[in-house]
Amino acid sequence: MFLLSDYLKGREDHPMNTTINRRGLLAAAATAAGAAATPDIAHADAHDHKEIPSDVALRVKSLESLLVEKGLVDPSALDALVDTFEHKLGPRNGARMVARAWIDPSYKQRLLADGSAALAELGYGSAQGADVLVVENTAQVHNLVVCTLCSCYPWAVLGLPPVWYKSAPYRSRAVIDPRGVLREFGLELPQDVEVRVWDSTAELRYLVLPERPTGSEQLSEEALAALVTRDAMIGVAKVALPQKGARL
Amino acid sequence: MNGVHDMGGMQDMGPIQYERDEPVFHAPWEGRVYG
Repeated sequence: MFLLSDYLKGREDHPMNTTINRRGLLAAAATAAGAAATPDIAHADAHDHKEIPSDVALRVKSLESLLVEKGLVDPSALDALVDTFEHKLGPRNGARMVARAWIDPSYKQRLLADGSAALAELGYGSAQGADVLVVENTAQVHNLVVCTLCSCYPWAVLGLPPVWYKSAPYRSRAVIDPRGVLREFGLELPQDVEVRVWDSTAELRYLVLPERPTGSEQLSEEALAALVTRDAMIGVAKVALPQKGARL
Repeated sequence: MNGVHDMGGMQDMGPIQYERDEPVFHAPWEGRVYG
């Protein structure tokens, strides 16, 4: 799926900018050599890329006003959508589901057998009409979710994906060097643990059911849910007890 | 079937840039466009 926001974000750290920096170096060298092209190159180097977002903000405002004026968009509908994604959909929903699976073996069984139906049991729909497959981490198997094509992600239970999930480094390397990627997230897996990488599609989204941390036997469902992080449900982290420094 | 969108297995993309406490939308316009 193409997102304008992704495209523009991509531009900010696009390799082109590296090229400009390299050009800057060249410009310095060219100045020393007294080359004629120096002024233009120097300008390119001094160019402030911060003007891009404000330009976009203005364009978005104009577009929205036009759409509202023409009666094509109701601004309160936009407010409601923004509110939904900022406050209602998000990893808290997935965490609730994981905690339920940890304390209720029959729910866990249903969750692994039919993810979409088990989500619906807790009142979560599938925002995009895609099915959800839940994969379980064990002492022998670690699951990792990626979308090498774009940014497919189980919105209903995790919200919108973080930028790194949509980034080229994660998407390209999760399948070719999953252990290296996990190491970058601070997760070193023993060699005898099998790593399974799941490549999401428009029709099927994956969610990791992390291992319940040892020492959490006494915790309530709510306390357990509070331990479960977004990263653990993507598979780039484990769930840890608070004193071990869980990444939120 | 190599293509610009299918990034699986591509090399030299560099390290993953992790953002702590990342907001859902980084700027108000992102939410408006998304909506």
